[in-house]
Amino acid sequence: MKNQYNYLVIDDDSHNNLIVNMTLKRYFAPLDINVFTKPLEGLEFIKNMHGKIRHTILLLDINMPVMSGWDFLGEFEKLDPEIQDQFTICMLSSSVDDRDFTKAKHYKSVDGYMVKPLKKDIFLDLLGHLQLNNIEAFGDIE
Amino acid sequence: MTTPIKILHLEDNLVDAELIQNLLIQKGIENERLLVDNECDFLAALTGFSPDIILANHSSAGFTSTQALKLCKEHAVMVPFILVTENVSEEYAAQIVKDGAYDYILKSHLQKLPSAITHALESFTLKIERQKHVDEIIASEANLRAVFENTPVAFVLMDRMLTILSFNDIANKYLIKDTGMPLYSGRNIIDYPPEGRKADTKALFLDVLEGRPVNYERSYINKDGSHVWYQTHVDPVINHYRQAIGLIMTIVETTDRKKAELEREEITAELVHRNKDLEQFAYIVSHNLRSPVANIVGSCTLMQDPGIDTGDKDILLHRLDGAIHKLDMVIGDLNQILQTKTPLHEAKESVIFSTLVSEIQSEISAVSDGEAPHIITDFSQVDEMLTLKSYMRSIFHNLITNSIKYKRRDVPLVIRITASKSTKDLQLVFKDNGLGIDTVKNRAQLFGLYKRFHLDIEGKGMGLFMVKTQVETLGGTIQLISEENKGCEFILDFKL
Repeated sequence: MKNQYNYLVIDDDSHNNLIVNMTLKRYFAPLDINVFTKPLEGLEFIKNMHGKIRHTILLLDINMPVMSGWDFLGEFEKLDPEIQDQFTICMLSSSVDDRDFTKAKHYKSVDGYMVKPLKKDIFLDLLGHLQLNNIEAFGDIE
Repeated sequence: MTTPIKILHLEDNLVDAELIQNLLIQKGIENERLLVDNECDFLAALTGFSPDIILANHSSAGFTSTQALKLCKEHAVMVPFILVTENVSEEYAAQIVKDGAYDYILKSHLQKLPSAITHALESFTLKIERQKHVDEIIASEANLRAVFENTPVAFVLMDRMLTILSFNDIANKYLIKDTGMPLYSGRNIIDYPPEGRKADTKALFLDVLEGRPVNYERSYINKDGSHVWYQTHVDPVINHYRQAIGLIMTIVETTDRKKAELEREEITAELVHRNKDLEQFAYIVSHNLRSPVANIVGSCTLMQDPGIDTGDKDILLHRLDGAIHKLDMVIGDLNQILQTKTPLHEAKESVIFSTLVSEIQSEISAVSDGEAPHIITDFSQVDEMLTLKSYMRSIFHNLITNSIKYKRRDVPLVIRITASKSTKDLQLVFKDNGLGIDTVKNRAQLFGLYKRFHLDIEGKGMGLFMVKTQVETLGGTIQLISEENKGCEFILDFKL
């Protein structure tokens, strides 16, 4: 595995987080995985991670109480661009609602959209796209 | 005269007859004369000859001019009748003129006859023409009357002083219904409205006279409680000189149209409501139903990988079980919501609020391990409502458990429930001192399905959604006044 990353998972659904954790460990040789069920805590974590050199892939849920994925993105995009550049954001939602997919496209910080559960092949494809062309990987939705 | 006039002459004295005829020709009265000397011929001539004028001697072979005139009337021969005769008494002459003869001429003054004939014919022509006009006006008026009386529209005509000139039956009926007083021609319309409305009505009518017609729709409540709607137009009546000479008020009953309109609005609102429900269902399916399904799929995929160790497999199996139960619960919720939306077959019954609260209280204390909530109730104003018991119970239950679930840890929970009543509404207020919800930030989602506002407390966002659905099904409304950490106040209004 030549491309190893840090992973940050923000989702209030602990079952999903377990699946993500196992899938990443089994197939993606993660450098580090940080999981937050409260988006605000995830945001604090990002603000405090100055100096990290390795790129981080953020898997972000949409439907969460108090602060939704959209609220999170709004706050994230206010951060220092240097911090933002350290992240590749992939939405990971159970929603198959077209409106959510379309809405995700409107956030410049969002690089991809995957429908739960996290699947090895689809995520590999998405990573390949992101790495090769540095383009957004929205085409890979099922 | 261009065409010869037809003269029917009743005269048994041939000499006199010729004398008269010669005189007429001499005076330029061209004529076609039929001379008769008895009743039988006279009668035949009335219809067969169609005279323009009749000259008659006082008596011809025992047939008198009085009888002749009577025959004319009987056969509706309405032409001038001139008595031309020897001496008769003043009384007789006066009587026959009174009976309808146009004139009488004594044979001793025959020179007066030509001009008498000319005058008679002229005045008769005028009379006929005038009669024709009068007949036309009468016919036209009768036609208008027929329209006036047989339309479903009520009419009241007034002059500039607002005095009633004319009205139709239906207007009278409406006015009796509205004011208890029948309409009278000659009475002022301002006599009819009640004291409080007189000035306004008068101002309105005077405004119309200034050229500003009005129309308005108004409803009245019948004795049986049903509503009747009337649309009223008041327009000025304008003469040839463009002056307003009076007012015409027309009233149409529009209850059926109004009912249809209101029904349509209701149906539209119902459709909008159902449509929103459908959107909500689509949302539930794509989010809440998908979420446990995705976890089940994800867990199974991992478990099938031979490289996963046994410990992980056991964890996944345990989680799988949880996800399947969650899925089952969502399906159960959907079913419950669907049932709430189906039409109500349950009969309304009397619900006693105080009993309801104590029942729920004992239920809650039986299942909860924590401290029982302190519930203060005030049902002194109203403690009873005719409604669907199962719904009202569910509403009370959900609101009370909602308060318990979202109480502040450091403050003992107090719930106040009060009921008040006005003529039209019954209001229930549930107030607690719990965590509260930021209603400004969460306005759009407040009563949405699967919307939650607190991270640390388990909840699936069903309670308030169900409460709202049930309140609305009972024809009520619900609103929430709340601030974070200051508690919640739910206000429920039901129409009575």
